[in-house]
Amino acid sequence: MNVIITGCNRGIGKALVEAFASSGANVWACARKATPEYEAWLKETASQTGVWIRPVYFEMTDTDALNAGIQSIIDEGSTIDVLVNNAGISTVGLLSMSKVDDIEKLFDVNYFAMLRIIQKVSKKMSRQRKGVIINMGSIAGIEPQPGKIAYGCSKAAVMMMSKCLAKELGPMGIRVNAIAPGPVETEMIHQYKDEMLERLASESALRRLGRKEEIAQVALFLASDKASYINGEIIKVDGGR
Amino acid sequence: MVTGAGGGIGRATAIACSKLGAHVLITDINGPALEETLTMLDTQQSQAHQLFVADLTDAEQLDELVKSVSEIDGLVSNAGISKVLPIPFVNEKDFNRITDINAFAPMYLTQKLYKKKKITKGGSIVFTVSISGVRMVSMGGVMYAVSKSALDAFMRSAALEFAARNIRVNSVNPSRVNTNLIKNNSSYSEEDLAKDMQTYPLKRYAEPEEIANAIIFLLSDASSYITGHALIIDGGKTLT
Repeated sequence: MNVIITGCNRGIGKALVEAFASSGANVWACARKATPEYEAWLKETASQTGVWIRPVYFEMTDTDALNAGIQSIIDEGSTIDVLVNNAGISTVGLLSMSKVDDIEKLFDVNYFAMLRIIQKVSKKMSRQRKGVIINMGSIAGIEPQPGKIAYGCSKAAVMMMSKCLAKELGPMGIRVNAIAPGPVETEMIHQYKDEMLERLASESALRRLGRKEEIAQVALFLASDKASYINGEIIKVDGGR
Repeated sequence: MVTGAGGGIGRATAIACSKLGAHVLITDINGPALEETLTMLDTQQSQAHQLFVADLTDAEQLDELVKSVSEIDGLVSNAGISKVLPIPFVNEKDFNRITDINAFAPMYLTQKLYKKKKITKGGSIVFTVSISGVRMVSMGGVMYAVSKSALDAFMRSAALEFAARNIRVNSVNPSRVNTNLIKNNSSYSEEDLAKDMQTYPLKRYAEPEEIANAIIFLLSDASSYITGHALIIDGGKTLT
């Protein structure tokens, strides 16, 4: 199985690379830019798991670089079995404190860049008559909250897009699904204070935050033939909210 | 424990669980069908699979079943029936029977197992619900839809309450599956079914094994942060 994963340099993305590689999948690991630590980690993961992992670098907001990056994957000529659209950024901001230009920029990353990648990859998948696309949504795109006009709305758009594409691409043998994680313990979430993290944990029925590996396992399931009849579904991974 | 294991999704789930090394307790009202399932279970890792023929709508038999269990890590509540009747023809006898089997029996079974602490901490419960009543309704499907939406509400309530013991509760919600419920149903001609399949983005019905695989995912630790979720498995049918 050959898999494209975006946003691989931290958090859930790293867990995704480890989970897919451990299950024997080859990975094109997309990230913003090369760092020695990142490249060393990819090499180590590949040698431990016996798969190949190829880094692909582009900035999500740089359309030319994005197109070139994805095209370089397609030009390799290998089958692309799975695309995991994980890259995204998160912000919190009340309407009165927000600049619409900033919200536009967030949409460029979280929604439009994802759409560009899917457009290119799904063309290839439709020629294969087979493929799986998994988009990272969020519980923030389901539950309305003050301060989430940017992030929440961008994720709501991602999840609606997933459903529309499930309908559009299903007849070509491509399944499209989304994962909606609740708060997950990552570097990103530690921008919040401890009290806030405790509150977030207490909001779930399981009384804890999610672990990034738990999100990766769900992606692995959706990517596998075990999920062969699941299409257009949003799987909430939130410990019960 | 798998209920409704005499055929279809229940049988496929029991077989899949046994292949993964689980010790399986199967139950159904249909004795011969259940015996047949027992012969199909994988015995390489566990030879101690158990069978319990019971009508789960009968309180005494339900108690007997619960009593016979020492401890379970997973409950797959799958038994269900269907009958198509438009609202003017709905009658108490049919409606009660469908609600008893599809909703009350799984609710009381779950309650009793939980109360008697037969479900281990960290365990997982999966209900087979349906897209019917949860995501869509169909002409004449009122009794089935009502029973299934009741079970959906119970599933989410149990997820909330049972989290205290770290027991996760979820459901699978299939659209039409290639089981005897469809194959032996005289209400549908082959042409009807072929035409209906075209309304699914994946252009086919599910196989019981595809539902079983999702049930196994929800039973396993791969879904350790998922609780209270109604997992839709419909090939894209209910996308609106």
